Amino acid sequence: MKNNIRVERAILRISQQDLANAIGVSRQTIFAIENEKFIPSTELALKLSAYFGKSVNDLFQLD
Amino acid sequence: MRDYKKQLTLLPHMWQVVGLVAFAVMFACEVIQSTVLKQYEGENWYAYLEMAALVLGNSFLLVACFSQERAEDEYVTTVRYRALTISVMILIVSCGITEIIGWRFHRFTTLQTITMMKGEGDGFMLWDYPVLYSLLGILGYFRYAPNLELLYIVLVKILKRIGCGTVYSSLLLPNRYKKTGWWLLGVSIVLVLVTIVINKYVNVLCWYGKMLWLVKLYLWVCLVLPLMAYTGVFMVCLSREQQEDEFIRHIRVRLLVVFVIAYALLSIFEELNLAGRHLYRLIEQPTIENHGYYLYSHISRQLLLWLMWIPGISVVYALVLRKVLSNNLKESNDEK
Repeated sequence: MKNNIRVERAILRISQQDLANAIGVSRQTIFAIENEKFIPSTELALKLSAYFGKSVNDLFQLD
Repeated sequence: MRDYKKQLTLLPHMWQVVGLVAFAVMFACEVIQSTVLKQYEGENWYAYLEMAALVLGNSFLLVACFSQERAEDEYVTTVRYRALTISVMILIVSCGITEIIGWRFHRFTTLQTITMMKGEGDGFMLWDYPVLYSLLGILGYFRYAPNLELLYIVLVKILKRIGCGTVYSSLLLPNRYKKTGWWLLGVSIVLVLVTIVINKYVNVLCWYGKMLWLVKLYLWVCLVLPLMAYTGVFMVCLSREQQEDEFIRHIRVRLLVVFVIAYALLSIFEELNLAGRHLYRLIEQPTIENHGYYLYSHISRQLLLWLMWIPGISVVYALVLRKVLSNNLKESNDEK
């Protein structure tokens, strides 16, 4: 599964730590998701999509 | 960075059926051997049956544990992780309780005291309390890998049927207990080393005639120190990280899988060792040094002494978890 978290974060110019704080996870988790080493749960995916104001489909795509 | 999406490849579902049927057959062999065949003395062949039943039975059960359900999907994986967590928690609790109460407490307050005081000790006889004794027996039962594996298989079936929920309700202690746990563990290890040194140079137990209070205090310290170490280990292992989220829970569960596989494999190794010794005794080899089983038994006993001690494995688990998280943090810092 691919994702655009890094791109969206760059557009908003926020750090991994800021994003992690905003959605209540650790920076390691954001790092693992951005590097496509960890697939987040639906709950976390929805939190991310709500934060960036995009749909889950825009953030995550199947390979 | 390690790929945390990778899952353990499970065997096809057919192996679960084969594993369970084979385990049932081996269990029946074991029952027949221990009830019927043991009566016939002079025959050694049934010892092979016992060996096969023990070793193969446990191996087949392990195969059944790591086989897919009929419809293996994401939900079943969640159920599987939940069942694994509950099984390991039961294992740790049963080990802790039976080791501390059933073994150490019993040992330090009965055998040593009574032997030391030549039968005049006010020992606590565990078997005088049948309910406690039975409870400890039942709890102690889960220490053995085959029972733990059976519990895991049954839990997977039950949780799959009743639904374990997708929201992960953490059973872990708050993070502050982790620090307390490390302190308790460190202090108890230092104190254990001090008592070992004292014991090396001064035989406290010889003073029972003059200073009974000191001997009693020494025995109680010997009892309390392992209890402290156990409590410390369990607090370290069973408390949350500073920011416990789903990623950390995921790593935790992956480590638990490794923990259980190591435990089960060592258990098979131990059964092979026991069976080997049993066979050796039966076939009465005159030269023990030349017998392969001797070396095998020795190696496996040493391994078991150091590796199968659950708190030991638990400390390794806690350290590996710490290492994985700090590596991950370092990598993410580098990228930052």
